[in-house]
Amino acid sequence: MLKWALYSALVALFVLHNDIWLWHDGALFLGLPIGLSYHILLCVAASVVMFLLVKFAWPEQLDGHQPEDDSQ
Amino acid sequence: MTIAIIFAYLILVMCIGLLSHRLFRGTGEDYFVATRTIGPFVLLMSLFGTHMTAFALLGASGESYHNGIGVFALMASVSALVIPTVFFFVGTRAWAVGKKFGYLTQVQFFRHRWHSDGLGLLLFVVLIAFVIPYLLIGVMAGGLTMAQITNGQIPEWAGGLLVCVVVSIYVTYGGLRGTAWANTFQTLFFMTLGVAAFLIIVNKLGGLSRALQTISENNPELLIRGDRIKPLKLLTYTCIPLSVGMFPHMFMHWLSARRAESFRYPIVLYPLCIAAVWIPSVMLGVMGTIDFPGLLGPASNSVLVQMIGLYAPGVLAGLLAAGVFAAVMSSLDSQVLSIGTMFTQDIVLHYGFKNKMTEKQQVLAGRLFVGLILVITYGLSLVSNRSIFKLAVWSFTGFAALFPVVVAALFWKRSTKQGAAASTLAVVVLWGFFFAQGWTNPAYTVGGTGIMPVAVILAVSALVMVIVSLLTKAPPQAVLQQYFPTDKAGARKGIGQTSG
Repeated sequence: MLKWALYSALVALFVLHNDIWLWHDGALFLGLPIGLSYHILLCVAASVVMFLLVKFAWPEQLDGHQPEDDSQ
Repeated sequence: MTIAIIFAYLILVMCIGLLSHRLFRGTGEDYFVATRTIGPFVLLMSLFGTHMTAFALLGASGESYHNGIGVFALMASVSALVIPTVFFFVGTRAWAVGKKFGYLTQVQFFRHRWHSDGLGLLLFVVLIAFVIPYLLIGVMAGGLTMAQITNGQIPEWAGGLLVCVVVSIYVTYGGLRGTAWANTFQTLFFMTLGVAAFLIIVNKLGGLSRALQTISENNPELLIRGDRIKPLKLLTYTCIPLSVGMFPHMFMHWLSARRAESFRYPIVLYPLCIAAVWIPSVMLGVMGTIDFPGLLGPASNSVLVQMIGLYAPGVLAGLLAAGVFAAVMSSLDSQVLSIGTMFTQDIVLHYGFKNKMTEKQQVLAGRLFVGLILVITYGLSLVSNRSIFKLAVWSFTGFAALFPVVVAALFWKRSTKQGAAASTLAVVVLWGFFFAQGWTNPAYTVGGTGIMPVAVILAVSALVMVIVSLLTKAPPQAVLQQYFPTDKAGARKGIGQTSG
């Protein structure tokens, strides 16, 4: 359940990346044009979601996979 | 003094690469993937340094000079989302199958996954062809930086040549371990120097507020996306960073990881590293319009270096220029090494020399091919005069459009070699068509709608993969069992089942 919630958060970030509502907005936010500072905050949010993904939805059986075929 | 600092830096990087040679175990696996011993921090730095090239410094600043802050959204923040996602879902699984079967290249993986020599050869040729423009921007940027920062005392041809020589020396002797070490140092160096350049130049311009005020008075459209970047362009640029899933050099670094856990740092910290590099690049590109107005087309490639020369002369200029070199070489080294590895493993050994060459001879073959590719790339750099940003985007477009191949290989049991081959050929044909359109019109988008060609090629590639796979015979069960094993109860226990 948590895994799917985190996947959904990731999809939400992709949607939020297309910030058409800020397209012509030249206001300053955090000392930078808002069209830039918004996307910087999106990078921070991406890092947080990635942290939660590796913490709670890490793929299993990666390190422990034993060879079944030595043909290579 | 500037030249002395740059040369001192180049010698230092060579020494790091050569130092790693002392740990060389004399085997092909050690030369090509450092015997899969790279830990989390070096993996992060080598992946990031490999990925961030002249594109992220000179390309980003040059493009922002023309199109403003929107360039950050086009490439940086979307990469911060897409790339860690690809590492999480694709990179970890590619590492797992690489470790399981002992792969050194991605072609080995695709060839074995679909049991097809022809497909392996096709992918080898296509991947090498797409990586050439990527190599090219590194050599171009090296020449450009050296010429600008020395006021032409060292011409562009000499700067490009110097980059090729230094990289070939430490890659030749250090292999992947040397490359990873050098990349770690260079990545830390260019990240630090990028931030330093930003702070120094902004300070000289009278502070951030004053600089932004000047821009808003003269070029207010650079502080918004406005009409220069259409919403569909932003949306379809999302496809471009998928290229990271098919870059041969990134695949090679994935394989070098000691454990799957080593991916955790890169996945979490990659978005922050991207922001740290791209914010200064984009802002300095926009600020370049204050002192260097009127640069046309590819002339803006050098705006960052020109600003460094104007606002931070002497020792600082040398250090900052070395930072640009660091970004360039940290990518170039991995790219040439991956090409050498592919040639050795996928051509020389695969086609009949496996029992005729010692491991040292295998390594030598890889080194010679690296030299050949560098000579070709250097030759192209002497005649190329294109935007670094756009040249890179074309290279990324090709790799991104091949993304369905790796996804199908890892996740779709029913995918077939015919599907993968048809998908690859569709990419080649469409990429060629769109590249021809974009050659005469650098601002080309599909039908002028803002849709980037990558979105169309990617969609067709995925569709062709699905249709042709479903129309052709499914792979044998014995092959699938190797990649998608099930337990006696029939439950999937394959690589990368997720918890949670």
